[in-house]
Formats: sequence, C-alpha cells, structure tokens
Amino acid sequence: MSTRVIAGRNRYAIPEEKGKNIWEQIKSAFTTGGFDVPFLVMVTLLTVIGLLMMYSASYEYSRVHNGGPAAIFLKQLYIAVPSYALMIVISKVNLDFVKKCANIVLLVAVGLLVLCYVLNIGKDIKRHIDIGPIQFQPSDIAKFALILYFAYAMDKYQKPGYLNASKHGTAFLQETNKWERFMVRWRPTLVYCGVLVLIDGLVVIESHLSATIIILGIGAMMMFIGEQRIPGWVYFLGIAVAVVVIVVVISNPDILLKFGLKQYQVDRITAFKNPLEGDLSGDKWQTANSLMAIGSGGLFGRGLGKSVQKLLYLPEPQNDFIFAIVCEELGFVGAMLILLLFAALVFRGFLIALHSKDRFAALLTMGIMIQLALQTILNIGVVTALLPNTGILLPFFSQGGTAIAMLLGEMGLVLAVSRQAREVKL
Amino acid sequence: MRRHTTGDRMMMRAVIALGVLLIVGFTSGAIGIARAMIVRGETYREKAEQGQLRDVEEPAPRGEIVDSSGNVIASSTDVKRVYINPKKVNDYENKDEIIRLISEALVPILGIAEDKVAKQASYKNYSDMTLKGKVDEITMEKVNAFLDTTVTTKMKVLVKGADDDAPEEEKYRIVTVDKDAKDAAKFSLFVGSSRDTIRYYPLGTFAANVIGFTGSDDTGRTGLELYYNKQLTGTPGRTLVAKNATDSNIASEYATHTAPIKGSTLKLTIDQEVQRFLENSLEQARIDAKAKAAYGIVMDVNTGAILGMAAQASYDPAHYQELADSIKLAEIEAITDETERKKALNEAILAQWRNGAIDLTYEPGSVFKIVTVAAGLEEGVVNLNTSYTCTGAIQVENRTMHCHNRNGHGTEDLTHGLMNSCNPFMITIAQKLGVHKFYKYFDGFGFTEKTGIDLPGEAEPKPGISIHAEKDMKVVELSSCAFGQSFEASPIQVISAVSAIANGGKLMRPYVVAQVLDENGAVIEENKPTVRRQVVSEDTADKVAAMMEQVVQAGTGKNAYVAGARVAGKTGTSQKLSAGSGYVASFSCFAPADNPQVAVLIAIDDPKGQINGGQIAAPPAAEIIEQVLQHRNVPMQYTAEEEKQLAAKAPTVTGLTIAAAKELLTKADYTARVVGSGETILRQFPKAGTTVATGGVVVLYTSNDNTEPMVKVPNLVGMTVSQANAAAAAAGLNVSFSGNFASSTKITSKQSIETGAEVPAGTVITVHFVSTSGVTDSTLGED
Repeated sequence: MSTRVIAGRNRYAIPEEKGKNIWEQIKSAFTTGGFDVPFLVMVTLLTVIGLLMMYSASYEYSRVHNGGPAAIFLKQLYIAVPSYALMIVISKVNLDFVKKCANIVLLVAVGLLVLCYVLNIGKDIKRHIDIGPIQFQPSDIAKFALILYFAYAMDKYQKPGYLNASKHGTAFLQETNKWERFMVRWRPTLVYCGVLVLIDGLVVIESHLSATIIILGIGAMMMFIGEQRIPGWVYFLGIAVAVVVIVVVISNPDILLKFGLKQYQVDRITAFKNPLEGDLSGDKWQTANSLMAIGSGGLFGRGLGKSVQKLLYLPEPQNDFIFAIVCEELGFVGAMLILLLFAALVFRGFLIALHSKDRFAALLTMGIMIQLALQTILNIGVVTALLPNTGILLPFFSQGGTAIAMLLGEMGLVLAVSRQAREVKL
Repeated sequence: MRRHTTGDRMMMRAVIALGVLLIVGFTSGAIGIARAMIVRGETYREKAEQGQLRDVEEPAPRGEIVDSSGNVIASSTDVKRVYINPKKVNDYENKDEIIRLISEALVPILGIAEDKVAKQASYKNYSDMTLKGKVDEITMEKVNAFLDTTVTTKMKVLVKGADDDAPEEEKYRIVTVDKDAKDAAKFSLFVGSSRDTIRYYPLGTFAANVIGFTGSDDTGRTGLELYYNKQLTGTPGRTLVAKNATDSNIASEYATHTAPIKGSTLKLTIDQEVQRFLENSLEQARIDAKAKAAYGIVMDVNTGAILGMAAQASYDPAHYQELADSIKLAEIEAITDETERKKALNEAILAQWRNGAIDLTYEPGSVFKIVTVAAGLEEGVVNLNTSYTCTGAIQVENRTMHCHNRNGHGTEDLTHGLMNSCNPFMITIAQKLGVHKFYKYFDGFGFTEKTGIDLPGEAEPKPGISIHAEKDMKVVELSSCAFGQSFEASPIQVISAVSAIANGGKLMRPYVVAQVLDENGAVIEENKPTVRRQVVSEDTADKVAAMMEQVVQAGTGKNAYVAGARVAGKTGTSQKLSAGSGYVASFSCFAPADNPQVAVLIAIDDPKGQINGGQIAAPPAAEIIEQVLQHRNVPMQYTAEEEKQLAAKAPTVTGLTIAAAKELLTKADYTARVVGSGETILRQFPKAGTTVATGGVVVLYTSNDNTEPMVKVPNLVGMTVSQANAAAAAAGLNVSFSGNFASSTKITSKQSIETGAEVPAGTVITVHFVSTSGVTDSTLGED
C-alpha cells in the first residue's frame, strides 16, 4: 500500500501499520513514484567528472606510490559504482521507515565514535577505524546521524500533539511551577544542543578539526531552520562575532598567544596569510603548490591530464587539494562551471526539500544539502587560500571510499524525498 | 493557526539558509577562484615556473653484471657531482670576485678548464650547473674543505619605502658581510654537490667485448651494457626542495622524496673460470700466431648458453679509450707521421671495442664440411660406406677445383673424407643433393639468418653480399659452398651449427644472459633454452659426431686430442672474402663425443707463418676443452694406454724405513732420493696419490728441518713423451701429461714451469703435447 498522503489536511500523519503481515511491512518500507530527474542528472554529472578528475590528479602519485597509475582510481571506482546502484535502491525507500531508524543510527554513530577513540588511544591519528583493508571514519557516519536525528526530532517535537502526548499535558503545564514550564518549553532545544555537543565533543577529542567545523555548521544551520525557540538574531549575532574574531585573529595572529595557544599554531595562521613567502617547506608546502597549480590554469587550463603540479609537486593531489588540479587542467572556465554545478545541485536540493511531503523529509534533505554545500565551500576556500588548511574533502572529487559511499547514499535519500513529494511537479 | 505559522517560519528560514549558502558561501568560493586564477594567476604561474622550487634528480645506481656463479663483473659505485648555483652567485654585488675565488680554488682540485666556473656561473636563471661529475671521495674531501671556508659578500638590499623610479643608488643599499664576521657566508652557499655514480669493472679486461662499457652519461655504449641498457638503468629518485629565499644559508627541507631504485642485475651464462681458460689460451694463441685478432666461444651444446666468449686483444672497459693491446700500441707509436698515427690509434681503439665472435664474418672453410656431410646423410645421398676416389682435383663446369692435397687422397670412405677434409668428396655430395636440398640445410643450420644472441651488432647474412641467395646458387657456387668457401658466416653462427650436431640435430638460440634479477635477487626476466629447429635427425647428428671424433683422433684435428675427453672437431682454414687478403684459421669442436656437453670454437684472424686451423687453432681449443671438462667435472674416458700412464701414482712411503721405501718405489718404477740423516721417512714429495709418470723421482725426507733441495727445470719442449719423462727424471723432477699424449709421434709444445726456474726436487711439471704432422687442411683449392 502506498503511503503517499493526499495533500491537504493531514500532512504529517503517520500511516496506520498495525495488523499487517511481514511481507506487507517489508513492502511498506519501499515506495514507488518518479524521482527528480534534474537532481539525478546533476549528481551523475558530478560523480563522473569527479572520478575522471580524480584519475587525472592521482595518475602520477598512484604510479609512484601505489604501483600503477590507475590503482587509486580503480579503488575509488570499485566503490563508486556499487554506491551509485545503492543510491537508486535507496531512492525507493519509504521515508517513514528511515525516520524510525533515526534513534538507532544516532546510537550507532555515537558508539562508533567512542569505539574509534578507544581503539586509537595513544596513536597520533585517531579518526579511523580499520577493518581489514577497509578504513573508515566514524565522523562521516556521525554527520549523517546528526542530520537524520535532527530531522526526526525537529519533526517529532513540532507535532501538534507533542505537548498533549507528553506526560506534561497542557492542563498540567498551567498548574505547575515556572521551572517545569521552562523545561517543557525548552526541552527540544536542549535535546538538539545536547546531541550536537555530544557528537561534536566526541569528534573534537579525535582531533578532527575539519569534521568538527562541518558538524557544528550543519547543526547550527539545521537548528536555525527547524528549532522553534531561539530567535533569528541570535544566529546572526553568532555569525557576526565569529567573523570579527576570525578577522582579528588573521590580521594579528600573535593575539592568540595571550589565549594560551602555542607558537607553532600561530605560525600556521601566519603561514596561511602569506602562502608564497618565506620558507615554503612544511605547512606552507601544500597551499603554495596548490596556488601555483591554480595560477597555472589560466582561462581554459592546460587541458585534461596535463597538470604539471600533480607531478609530485602537490602532495596527494587526489585528496583535499584536487580542486587545484581541476583549476590547472580545466582553467577558470571549467572550475567555475563545476562550482556552478555544485551550487545548482544545492539549489535543486532545497527546492525538493520545500516541496517534500512532511517536515522530516524537508529537514533531512536540507541537512544533507547543507553538508554538501559546506564541504564544497570550505574545501574551495582552503584550496584558494581563503581559509587555513584544515583537510576537508571535496564531495564527488576527492579520494575516499567511505566519503563517496555515504555521499551517494545521502543523494539516494534526497531522491527518495523527491519521489514522495507533496506535489508531483516541482 | 499556530501550526501554519511555524511551517511558514521554517520555509522562510530555509530560504534564508539557502541564500546564505549560495550568496555568501559559493560566491566567496567563486571570488577565491577568481582571485587565485585571474588576479594573482600570473604571479603564481611565475612562481611555479621559477626555480623557487627545485626538482633534484638523484641518479639511481646502474645494475650489476655478474657471472654464472655471482662474481661481479660490472658494478656501479657512488661518487659526487659538483655544481655551482649561478642564481645565488648573481644575487651578490661582488659576484665577479666570488667567481674568481671559486675558480682559483676548484680549478686545481677538480682539474676543470680555467673558464669553466665563470662560464657555468653566467647562467643566471639556473640554480644548478655542473662543474664536474664523477668526483671521487678523496677529491671531494678537498672540495668540501674549501666549501667550508668563508667569503666576504656584498648584497644589494631594496631600501624600504624607496621610489620605484628612484635611481639604483638610492633604491638599493649594499650590505657587506665580511668573511671574518660571525654570520659570514661560506662557499657552500654557492657550490654544492650531489650524488653521481660511476661504473667500474673489478675484473678489468675480463670478457670486455661481451660486457661492453658505459659512456660518461652512464648509459651502455656497446655489448651487454648496450643491449640490456633498459634493464640495467635504474629509476632515478626525485627530491623536490623548497628553497628559502631570505635565509642566507641554503636551508632546504625535503618536502617530497622518492628514493632511487637500482637497476636490475644481469646474471650471465658466462662462467668466470671458463672465460679465464678461454681468454688465457686465446691470447697466447694470438701472440704465438702474430695474428691481428683471435676469437673464441665456449657454448653449452644442450642449451645454447654461452659459457665463455672472447675477442682478443681485449680492452679495459673502465678505460675504454685507451688502447689495451701493447703490441699494437708499439706498432702505432712507431708511425712517424702525426696524422697517420692518430688515425691508426683511433681505428685501433674503435676496433678493440668490437666483438669479433659475433660481428666478424669469414669464410668458415672446412668446418662447414660437417654441414655438407650431415645434409648428405640426412637426405640419403651418401651413407657411411659410400666411398670416393680423390685425384686431387675435380672438374666443375669449365673450371678445376683442387683439393688441398693436390696429389689426391685416393679412395676413401665418408669418415675418411671428413678426416682428410677432402674437397672433391664434399663437392660430389653437394652436387648429388642439388641446390634446393643443399640450401635447405644451409638455411637449416642457420647460415642465412642471425642466431638471435642477446648481444648488439651481430653480423647479419645478406643474400648477394655475404651469402648466395638460393636463386643465384648455380653448380659452381654450390660446389664452392660445399667446402665452406664463397660465403661468409660469423663465429657464433658456426658454433651454433656445430652445437646442433652435438645436440642431436637441434639448433639452439645462443644466449649470454641467464637471468635479469631485481634488487632482492628475484627473477624478473629469464632466458630459457630455445630450440630454433630440428635440423637433422638425431641419428644423422650422432653419425657426424662420431666422424668428427675420428677427425680429432686421426685426422686434421689431431692437435685437439685430449686424453680421455673424447673431443670431436673439425678444422678450418680460409681466406677472408671481404677483406681481400689474410686468412682465418679456425677450429670447432665439442666433447665428449658420445654425450656432448660443451662446444668450443677458436678463430684466429690473420695469422702469420703457420695458417692452418689444425696447427694454430686446435691446440688452444684442446687446452680449453680439457680445462672446461675438468671444471665441469665431466668424467674422462681414457684409452687403455692412457689409463696406464695416468694410473701411475706415487705410493705412500711415509713412516717406512728408508730401505722399505726404496723397495716399494723401485717396484712401482720410481727412483728414490733421500734427504736427511734419519731412519724413517717423515714426508715425501710428491705426496702420495699424486699422478707422477713412471720413471719419475720421489724425494724422501727423513727429518723435518731439512731444506728442500732445489733443482733447475730443464727444457722439455720439442721432446716426445718418453724423452720428456727421461729428461725430467734426470733433473730430479716429475712430469704429468696433458693434450694428445697417446701416440709416440707427439712432441711437447708447452711446459707449466719455465726452463731454468729453480724448484724443489720432485716437483711435477705439466707438459702439453701437440702434433705437427697431418694437420693442414687449406681449402684454397679453387683455381
């Protein structure tokens, strides 16, 4: 039975499921209906271009370090192809089923983060879990878990019956004291903040700066959209303070010494300020070579596969700094087109969200698109030396099995949302 | 109502979030890209292209070449390359002075040209210009000592806030750092060194014409160094160095580094011992025959593996531009005309690099007769009982072709035809075969193609030039080809054909490299024995092999007879077709005839005096094959007569009384000579069990402190077996025999210890026997 809800009065109804046999229950976990074709086309384009550029960027590095020019590319391809198929399968999943998984996924993510921390005690790099040859970052799962849980919670607490259904009924509320009333009113906000602090805290102790920033960004933006109590100006005040702090720190990094930071940490920021001056070895090496690659691109680039900087100048060109190679090979025009493609995908994703069948679907989609947008923007910011080097991957482009699998899975969920849209046409 | 407001509120906030992402986020991304690509693009591009970052290649050591048991023949070792950094030098106001100081110090140390430093320093935009490569450690110590000294520098520094249009003097100020100052620059700021490799050949001239040599660029120029250059060349390491522009010391840090990978090792089929036997005998033969050159190949007949290959006079690959042949050098130095002398020297140097064993072509002569016989037997036009009467000449169309024995060999069977190296018999066989069938075997034994040996420069047979094409082969050409004349072949082709007879009719591809090994000794490439084709049946091959054994036992190859070795061979003497004059004396053989193991070919190019293969090529071949068989532990099969000679061993007499020892020795046909005043024999010389010819002397020592009585070695050359034995015994010495000592007509040609040398009494002298009669076979029979 289709769970498609007729537009109108009962938009957020949960379908009746009692009394069904197992087969019908399984069937109800999937859905039918057409998905958003433009979104799929853009995802496919980015996946193909991303793989192609990854092959080009990794060619020399792979030849020297991995025993063959195609070794890194093939490894990525073998994950990307099944992931793409999985995306299509996921696009058929019933969102109500997904919603039910939110709590479990959150628990699993937190469990993995703790496990990761415990397993890596005493090691320098604490962000991976190794299962045989496979290495994955629990923070990738944590990002998705946060999005899913926020969408679920923000939907649950918004339901008209939330106050009544809770043991603190409306009538009870009126009779009880101020403190209890405050607690009931702010309970959702406290839950969001609590979950965000828990997850981000676990990522912070893994010394994973880029994931910390991304998770904080996703959490803040989703709360801005779906949280009820905090007024809008608080967010903008927060942004304003952050901007001022960043500007002050960047213009005068020595100020950080007064706040207990070490000299080498200050040096990193100084390094980022003048990427091509002074001693280029060490921290500056990657950024300097990235800029030289980008600068060598010109308007139309050197041509696909003709990057010079990838020839062992730029370390691991297939990772964080792959966009520099894109710029060098495809030029300003090519780089702009790719950036535009990312922007269009985010735009389309939001459009799908705004036309989705319920609050959960909308928030889930927006969360996913926020993550994609933040990663893209921060990555390009680092590559072009607008931001200090933090190690953020470029979605669809950078090498990384977990990343591409998670990303395509998430794209599958967006497609699922588009299948179960409130209106057939967007 | 409230529900709707919250829904709308979310929508509104979603749109704001999207706006922030797109407008603030993506737009700043776009601005970042535009800034880096358009606004600052030019600067970044320049930086990328400039030498801000230095890409240094670290040469990889070239792979080694080792013999079949792993002895190193060629290897590479690390040295240094000294370079100047012109960019750095040109930063300084007093650059001319700096260059002068460097030049004054380094020219005598490195032995470079006076203006080299100034010239290299003039390439302002480069940071690495070579002053000298392949600098050894000792020289480098002197260079480093100089580089550690300080220098006064004057640097131009931009005055802060100076106008762009201001004149030079106002815009810059000169900062002088005196060489005694604490922060004075060292010369190492301007001159540095990096790794370089040099090739060396620990065994000197050993197999040089096979190994080849490398040029100054570390790539192979001839021989295996050239043929396997790709495998021997390693993968250079790379270091990308970030250079610090402000610090006065070259403080560089490795940012990216890939280690150089050493080239692969070539493991040869050449056996160091076999090669030594070959080179020693061949060089002696060349000198004895006053020949221009001598070539020799030792081949494993069952696999085609080359065990030894030499072209004498050889050269030292480490000093390939020096003429190694002292005789030739003396000749050249005798030339009075300066230009003529230089020309001759150059030609001689070029010639010494050649490997005549594969690139010389000569008429194989009588050696080829085994092919004619094999073809005749295989096709059934002759059999072992076929007889022929040689009258000393045969009429072919309108010309008379002579046998080398103008009086004729009379009536002979096929075996004797080959033993006598009879030309008319061979002509008759070829004519019976006809051109087509004859050519089938000419082609089959590999005379129309390269052997495919893994060495560069193998001579290629060219129809119409070095060989007859089948269509051009008429009865006259056929007849002359029958005894190995009127076409040319290379030594490697000839020994391959001979080995095919030894190997049951299977023609093998000869090869020099057994395996190509990586750094850890794992096999990357392997040359496996390759059968090119079955040329004749095993039965035919065995028959021809048996006939060839007769050639050595009683025919023209007598001088290659080695007691117990069962050598089968064929002599050859021929004129050089292309050179116009001169002879090539050759001998090809293999042993043991019943189960052939190794084949040896000796070719002596342009001998003076004796020119016959049986006279000058067979004796060294015998020496070599005897040593090779012993080295390879091939069991000897002696005749009864030889057995008797060899069975004579000194008996054990130590511990006996003098009388008892004397009695025992007399019984065994030895003479005893007592030294000392003791009663019993404490030690004996030669030791018990040593092979000593009967009639020899055994010295008996009765006390340990006696000095050994010394005796003079007599001249034994020119004597028969019994004469040599007697002469040695008279002098208080012993002899042991090698070569053809079965027949009483043989005379000694060599003795292992020179005449007149002082040796302890009882010393065993090895005497080598050769024959002088019945070993000529000049095939120059055509009128």
